[in-house]
Amino acid sequence: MYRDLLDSAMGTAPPSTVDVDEVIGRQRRLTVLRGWGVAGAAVATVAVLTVGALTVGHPGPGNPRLTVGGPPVSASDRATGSPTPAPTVYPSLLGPEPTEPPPDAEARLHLAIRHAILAVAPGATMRERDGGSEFHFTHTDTTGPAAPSGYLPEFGYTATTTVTVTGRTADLAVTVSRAGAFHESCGGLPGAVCAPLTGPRGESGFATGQSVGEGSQLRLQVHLWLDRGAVDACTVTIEMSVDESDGGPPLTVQQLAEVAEDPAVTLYP
Amino acid sequence: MHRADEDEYRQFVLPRLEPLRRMAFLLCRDWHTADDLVSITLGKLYRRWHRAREARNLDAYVRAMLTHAWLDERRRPWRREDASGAVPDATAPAGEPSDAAMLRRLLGAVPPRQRAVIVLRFYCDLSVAQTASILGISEGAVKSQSARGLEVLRQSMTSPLVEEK
Repeated sequence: MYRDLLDSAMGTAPPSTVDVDEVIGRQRRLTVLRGWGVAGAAVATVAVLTVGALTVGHPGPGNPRLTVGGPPVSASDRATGSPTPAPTVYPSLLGPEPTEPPPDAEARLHLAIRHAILAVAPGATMRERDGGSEFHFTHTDTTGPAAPSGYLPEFGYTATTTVTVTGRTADLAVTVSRAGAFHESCGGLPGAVCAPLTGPRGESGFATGQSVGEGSQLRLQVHLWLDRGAVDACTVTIEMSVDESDGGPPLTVQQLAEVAEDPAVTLYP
Repeated sequence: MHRADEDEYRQFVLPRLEPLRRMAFLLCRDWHTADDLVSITLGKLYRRWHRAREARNLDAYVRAMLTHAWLDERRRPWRREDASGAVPDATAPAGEPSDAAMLRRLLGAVPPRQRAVIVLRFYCDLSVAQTASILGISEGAVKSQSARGLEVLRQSMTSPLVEEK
């Protein structure tokens, strides 16, 4: 009964823009890109460095931990495979099931993320879009017997906020998840320029930059994904969205990477 | 993916495109976003086809993927939707709104999680247990959220017609 009512109210759908052949073609291309591994992404590093608003810091003596970008990739490298080891794909979630009650985890992560941002950008201010508090948390848990058959389990917390540094503002979402549910790659975001991330403890990931929209709606979107499975069985994803008319992003990719790498930003304190 | 697997994937997907678009529209209330969500879901399904085809209920599996694709998109700050359970009290614009516009308004009054429960329960005809399984919540939460969501819909239906934001 409800279904018929809803179908009737929806009326005739406009022509579909979903093209199954295009979806298949795109996935085939992504498969090829994944075959190249991070080597393909390193080529795109040059491009991400040219995105004017994205000031990627170079690791120096005071900041040697996480490296953004990779070495140049030669044609022979590409012919023989990636110079960087292929990222691990986990068959299931790593690490033990977190026992921390969600309210406690959110309160702890609130402080940890706040501290991590202030460590890389002293003076940064954070507030929710509606002005309520600094962060809005979303908890995702599709693990355990409630998960549908064949569905990949997922467990994590997402903190969203609006961050301002020296007059520049961006929407920010920081997600801490158990590693293993999904493996992202540079090729997963067609059209974006991509820089690989590597850490001394086995962390690996990437950061992409992409302009979306047009005119006054033009926004720069940065997507950073860091696999810390080898360190603490977590992955950290940071998404930053900046209105292009706001004068550039408040945080560099290097700063975002350091937030993602912060050991306190974890599911296992 | 081998050509035979791709043919199998295509045969599964093509007849389900429109039902998936309509389900996505009910979740996100916008046909363009609905098409984006369906494309994302089909891409993920293609990548996981070898595992997905083994699912006991592949349709439920795909609906779960679509629902989670929408919830994931909503998590992005620039896509965050601020649904309000409160009934707006603005006056009606001139002219009678279409059924589709009214449906968008009604669904917009229901918070996203409750909307997902309502779409899965009453549009996809899934059981309480299946809905709970897809959303990763308890059966009790499904019941309470569907009751609350339906109550919001009832309130909205009896409220003055309002101009959609």
